Amino acid sequence: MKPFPPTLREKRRYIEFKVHGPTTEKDVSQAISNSVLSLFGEDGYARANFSIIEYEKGVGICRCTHEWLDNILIALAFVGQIKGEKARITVLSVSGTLKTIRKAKGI
Amino acid sequence: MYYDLFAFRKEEGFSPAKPVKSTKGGTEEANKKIARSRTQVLLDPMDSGKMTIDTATLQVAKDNDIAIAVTFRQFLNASKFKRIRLIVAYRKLIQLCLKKKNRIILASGAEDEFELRSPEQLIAFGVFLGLTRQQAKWAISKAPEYVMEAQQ
Repeated sequence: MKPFPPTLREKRRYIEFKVHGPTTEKDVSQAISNSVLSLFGEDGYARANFSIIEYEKGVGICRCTHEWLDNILIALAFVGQIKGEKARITVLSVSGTLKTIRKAKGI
Repeated sequence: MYYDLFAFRKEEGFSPAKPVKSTKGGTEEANKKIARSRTQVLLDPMDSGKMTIDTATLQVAKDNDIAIAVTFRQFLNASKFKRIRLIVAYRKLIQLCLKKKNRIILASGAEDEFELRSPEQLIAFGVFLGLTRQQAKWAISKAPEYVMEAQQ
């Protein structure tokens, strides 16, 4: 398949985040997805093209479109509980490429 | 821990800041009373999710140099439908404050470590409520600084 030209490709942002609180990957993913869904609905979720790319030892990377970056940051801030326990998510860095964010993470 | 911090401040020559006079609003009557008082910050003027502040109160607050503070905590701890009401009400409030040129302060209002939010998240919160990025940055840095300096 012919790749999209750069002008038609969607601009992505990768967000590195840290979870404070006892959590597993499945619970964190579910909590963040629920937060995005409850704030912006299914339409917003689709427009943001949101997905969690990786998560390990409390630090993870998620992806969204650059237009929805602020909305995803606020959705991350609205996560107050994970599996009934108090938790919070802090944003460590935001980048345009996965390579840069992994470099910052030290992988 | 507190004692160590106190000793460190003394060694480094930091002068302790005077506490800022802030009062929590909520009802229409309370907001009107606070706007006429000597308080410096009106905290959470609409914690029930209803529009309990009007342009006249905002004008009085502006004349008395009272800042309007919005905390993230009430949004975080609200149930789903109350959160929707809060978002609607505070978007309207921000619109009115921008029109009347009231000073807006954004804060986490945290009571424990899990309610703390980073500056980036508070800026995103401000943008979500209807501020521009620049205004949101000002609301978390310069506006509180101005209030603290005024207290000194």
